[in-house]
Parts: sequence; C-alpha cells; structure tokens
Amino acid sequence: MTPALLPDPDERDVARAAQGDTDAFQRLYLAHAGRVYTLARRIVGRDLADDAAQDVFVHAWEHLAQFRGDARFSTWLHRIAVNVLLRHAEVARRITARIAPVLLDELHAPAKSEDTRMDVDSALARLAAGLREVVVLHDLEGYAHEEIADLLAISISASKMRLHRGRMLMREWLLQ
Amino acid sequence: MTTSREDDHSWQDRLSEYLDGTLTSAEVPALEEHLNICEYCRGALADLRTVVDRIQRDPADPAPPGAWPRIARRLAPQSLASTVPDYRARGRFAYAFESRTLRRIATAASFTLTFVSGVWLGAAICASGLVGSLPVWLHFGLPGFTPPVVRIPSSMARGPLAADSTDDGPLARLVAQGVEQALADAERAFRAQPATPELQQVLRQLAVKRKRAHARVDSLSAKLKP
Repeated sequence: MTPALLPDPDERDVARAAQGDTDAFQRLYLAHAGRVYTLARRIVGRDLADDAAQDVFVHAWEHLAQFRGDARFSTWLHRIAVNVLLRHAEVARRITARIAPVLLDELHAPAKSEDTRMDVDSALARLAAGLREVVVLHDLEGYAHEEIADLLAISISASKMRLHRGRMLMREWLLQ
Repeated sequence: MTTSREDDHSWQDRLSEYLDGTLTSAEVPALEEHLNICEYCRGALADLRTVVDRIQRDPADPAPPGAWPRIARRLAPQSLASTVPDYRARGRFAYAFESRTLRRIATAASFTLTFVSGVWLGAAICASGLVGSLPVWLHFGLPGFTPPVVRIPSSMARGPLAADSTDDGPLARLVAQGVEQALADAERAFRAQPATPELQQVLRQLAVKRKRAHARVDSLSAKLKP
C-alpha cells in the first residue's frame, strides 16, 4: 500500500471541525502547528511568525468546508499556509519599503563584519525575502520551480536564478 | 554555453541546476567537462551541496506555548465562515477583505465619515439660511456617541439647538471630533492588525477626508461669523 492510499489520520477530526467542533480543530492544530510555525518563521521571519501562523489556522478553519478530502489534510493545510505566509511576507515587504526604505537597504546590505559565519536560521532570515521564499519553498518544502513561479508570479528562470543566488549567499555566510 | 576553459566560471550560475538535476541532457556533459578542469567550480559545487544539506537539516520549531487560546478566540462559527479561499484566482490581497476585523473597522469608519458629512451638510444648510436648526437625529447618530453642543449664530437659530453666537468654531470641533474618532478607531485597528494594506488605504483616505473636512469647516466658520 502506497502512502497516498493510507487513510488520512486527520480525517475524523477534519469532519468534526467542519461541523464547528473547535476541540477537533485544536487536535488538528496540535498535530500540525510545529510545521506551520516553522514554515512561518522561515518565510516571514521570527518576528512575524506567530501572527502569520495564527492567520494560517484561522483561514484553514474558515475554509474547512472546502476541504474535499482529495488530498491529505496536511497537504491542504500546507498549501493554505504557503499562500497566507507569502501574502504576509509581501505585505510586510511593502510596508517596510514604504515606511523605511533606508532601513530596508541596511537590512539587506552585506555585512561589514569579518565574522559573518552564522547558522542556517540566521542565514535564511538574512536573505532578501524574494530569495528566501524560493530557497524555503524549493529546498525545504520540495516545490518545483514551476510551482514556485506560479505562487510568486515570477518566471521559472527567475525562480532558478533566485534559488542559486540565495544558495550562493548562504554558502558565503555559512561556510566562508 | 560550450566553453570549458578553466578560467571561465560562467557555468557557476548553473551549478544549482546541475545539483538539482534540472539541466538539459546537452548541458550536463558540457558542465561536467568544465568541472573536470576547474577546481573553483568544483569547490563551489561541493559547497552548494553542503549548504543544501544544512538547509534541509534545519530543525523544525515546536509551536509556541499559549498560541492556541489566541487562535481559538478568532474562530468564528462555521456557519459564518467564508467559502471562497481561491486566493490566486481572486488576487493575492483579496482575502484581506475577508477579515472580520477589517470589515468592522471599515464599516465603522465609513459610518462615522458619513455621519460627519451629514453634520457638515446640515451645518452648511443652516449656514445657507435654508433651514434654521440642525436636525434632531444628529444627537442619536452613533451608539454611545455624546453629541457636542452645537452653536450657531442666534440670528440663524430656531428650535432646540439654538445657542449664542459667541463661539466661532463649534462646528469645526464637531466635525473634527467625528473624523478624529474615525481615525482613532482605524489607527487602533492598524496597530492590532498592521499587515493589512487595505487598512492602510482606509487610513490614507481618512487623512485626506480629515484635511478636506477641516478646510470646509474653516470656510463654514468664516461664513458663520457675525
């Protein structure tokens, strides 16, 4: 039996939550919160991750009626999470660009310190949002460039270029 | 791209694609030929493998403690939930309008501005001499709203709202209070939910309307002076 044919472990709770059972939805939350919060931290950054992850679950709750069971709940939730988090990231980017473009430039400026070694978390956070989103979606979430291009409304070649640029920057920060 | 010179690192931009197996079958042997003679690109490729490996081993976070109660408070009954989640079809920002908080604030702001506009219109009518007093419903415009004392020149005043003509800026204060209240409501909502471009738009529109309202009231106050 392939994994795709295994019963969805969330099936019962999804059905109950769709009827308005918040206890069932809390169980779904507990089962998937770690992955959603991790994805939120990687896409929108640690400062915004909590609020963004909360929005993911609220939107999932509001749209549970649309879940048809064609895919696993975890897959469906993940797709919602990516959409909501990318929107958060873009809004945050626009607000920052509008309010403090100088600050934004400073944030994305190359480090002047000699000691630029850092961990993966910090390096991801340091990437410009456009690069970080592609690196996270491709290398951590397993999305193909075609899917990333569709999600971010960019070309496939731009997605490939951003991935390579992001990796090269992380190489510089992590290894050199 | 056919070069394989040792000092030509133009292949370096394609190393990620090579690593991911997305180069064409014609490109792979050309890049491998270059790798055979270019230590720099071999090193970059090895580094990229390490980076990707480290990224993929980045540990997941546990959910923050105490997050569930905050989410639970935001869960509406399913019967009230929206059923249109296709963000891509509707635009990436469309779902912000599904926010109940935003809708409430936008409605409140619009209502307040409409109310304020009514105040100004009523005052303008009074000032024009067509009607001698402001309408009574002004006092009951908003829940919990305590109407300020409206003073208009005694020469124009008729009815229960009539007052003296000593204060030349009461209408300005009335209009300003309404607009300022709408702004305060919107700003509170903005602080609670900052990542909402539509709310920013509401704030900008309110700011513009405030400016216009003050300009109109200044003009009206000048007319009301005896």
